Amino acid sequence: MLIKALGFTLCLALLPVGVPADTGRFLVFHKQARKAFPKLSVGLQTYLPVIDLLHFLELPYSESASAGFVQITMGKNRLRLAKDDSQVVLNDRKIALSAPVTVVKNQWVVPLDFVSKALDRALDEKIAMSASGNAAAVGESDFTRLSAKVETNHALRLQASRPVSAEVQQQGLRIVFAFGNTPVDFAGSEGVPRAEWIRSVALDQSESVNQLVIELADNVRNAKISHLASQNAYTVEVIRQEGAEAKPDAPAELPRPAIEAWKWRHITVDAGHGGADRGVAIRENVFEKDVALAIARKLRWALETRLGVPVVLSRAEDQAQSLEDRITAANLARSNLFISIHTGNAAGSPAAHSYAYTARWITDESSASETRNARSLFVPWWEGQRSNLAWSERLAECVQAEMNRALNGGQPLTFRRTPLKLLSALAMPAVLVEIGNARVPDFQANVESEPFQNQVAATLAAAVEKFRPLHERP
Amino acid sequence: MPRHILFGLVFLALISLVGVSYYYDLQKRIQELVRPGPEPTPYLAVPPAVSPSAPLRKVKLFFPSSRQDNLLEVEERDIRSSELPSEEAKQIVAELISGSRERRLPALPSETRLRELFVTAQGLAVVDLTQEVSRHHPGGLTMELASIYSVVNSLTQNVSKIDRVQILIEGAEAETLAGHIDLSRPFSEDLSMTVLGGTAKSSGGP
Repeated sequence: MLIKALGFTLCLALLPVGVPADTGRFLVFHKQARKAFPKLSVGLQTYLPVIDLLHFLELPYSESASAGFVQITMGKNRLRLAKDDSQVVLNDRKIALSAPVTVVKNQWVVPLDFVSKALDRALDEKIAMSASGNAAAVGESDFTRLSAKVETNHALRLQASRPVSAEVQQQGLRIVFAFGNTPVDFAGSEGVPRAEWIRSVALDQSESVNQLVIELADNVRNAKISHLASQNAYTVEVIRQEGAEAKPDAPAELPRPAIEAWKWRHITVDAGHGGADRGVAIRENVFEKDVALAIARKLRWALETRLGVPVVLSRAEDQAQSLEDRITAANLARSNLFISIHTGNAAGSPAAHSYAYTARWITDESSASETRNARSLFVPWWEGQRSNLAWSERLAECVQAEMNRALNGGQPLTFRRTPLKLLSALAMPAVLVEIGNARVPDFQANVESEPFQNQVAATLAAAVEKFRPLHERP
Repeated sequence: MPRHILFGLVFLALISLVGVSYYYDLQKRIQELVRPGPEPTPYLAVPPAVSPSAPLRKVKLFFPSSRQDNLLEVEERDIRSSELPSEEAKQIVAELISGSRERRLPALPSETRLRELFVTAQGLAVVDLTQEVSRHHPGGLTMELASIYSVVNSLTQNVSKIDRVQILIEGAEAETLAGHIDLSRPFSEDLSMTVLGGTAKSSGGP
């Protein structure tokens, strides 16, 4: 155990020097266009590909990889970036960034604060940053900030910080406010209203869409939307189905476990297996590791757009990664949620059912006494999940319920508890999902199809969306 | 041709004939010496030290069901009884690797070999398997769980001195068998996913 503890400490010390991983998107609004840039994680820092950014902003530059510099010309201003230097030079003035400019895979990358600290001063135009830090608007003094508040038992007010006009579309229980290319920002978790007739309110922002989506619960019969232009606000009034009025607007339908909750910073999505560990052979040349990665990527997109919470993939490509490395990375980053994606292989079953799994510990007297002794001072790192198990089980209930509805043909299956190596040491709500059954021909035929993978990602995202208000309290 | 030369050639021919036949005979003997004999007990690197005349005893082996996911079913076999629990346990693991005779799913890949097995005074059986158990495993969480509890339950149910089972791979502690289940700690018996006597029993999961 001492060796494990030392190994873990060493992991903590060495982790900042790592392989760059794609950790989400950074959206830039410019004139009448917007473009999403990949956010690259190198160690603990997040970087942006600067040359792509300059092309989008139509800024002339000169670059010399051998001499190790990039020079950007903006009118009279010259901004010079040097490789491995955390200071950039604007004309003769030095500006310190949070991390050195560097080159990753032949690509010049800059830390995220380059936009607000250096580019902002060098450009003639202003640059506004979103509150989440995931978007910037060039030529804008600020984002139009949106917040949503439940005013009465049947009305929701959508308030904008300044005049804004949206194209409103009502599709059944889904109301979409499309903002064109106006840079808008939603108050995220703080602004998500809680009422039993609201399923979710989320900003859906990408290169193709820029909209706020309100999903109403099934107990809503109709909704009316009004625009209060003078107050920069919209109201959504709902008429609920008979019998639904009697229910109080409780913030949570189920009793909460007595564990401290916190606001979400980010989610880790883990694609199972990878590299030489191919996982289950689903059919010829189709392996679990590839399917898991494809679904994980789609889930990241779905979660970021629906919840507005950054998502980190534990592996962004086909690479081997030990379970301990995955655990260490998620714990060190203090992720708020962990979902591991796998495919099932149940040769004894003709059905392709999907299951959620939580951790379980094997009953063992020696380890139990070891745990009790250790608990007097610290929680052993390999049992980090114990204090989060109640939340993990709540999350597994949400995931299993959504999978039963969307993937299991409505069968009332329950989640399973298993002594999983990966989950037992994670210090956050964590589930592992096994999708389908590799021995079922229909599953083999569909597993690589985009619609199926999108459906799985949407199902899991919907489950997380339902779990979030239970876990996260303002 | 002079007579003495003729005798010389005949003599050389005889010597060559004897030499060649001796060479082939020697090669045949060497091949017989180095050729491995038939494996006395398949699936075991070290055969159990039991007398072939020791009385037989019936054991219950656990194999994954071919009819229902997440379920183990029982099959009876005969092994040679021994006073040493490890020798009986070795035979049980060998029978598990040899596979079901009643069309159930394999408990362990057939390429697996048992490297060593010993039982401590505290009732812990340490089962050391070759790496084929991971390399040839079909994968999937339920299959992995079934493999582990096939071994664990078969040993704890049949050898009274075994309470817990620690699985090693190639003599060392392994992270998992096929990527999911924690192998770092010993397993205790778990019959929650078992059908005894072939009748279905409701199971709330492993």
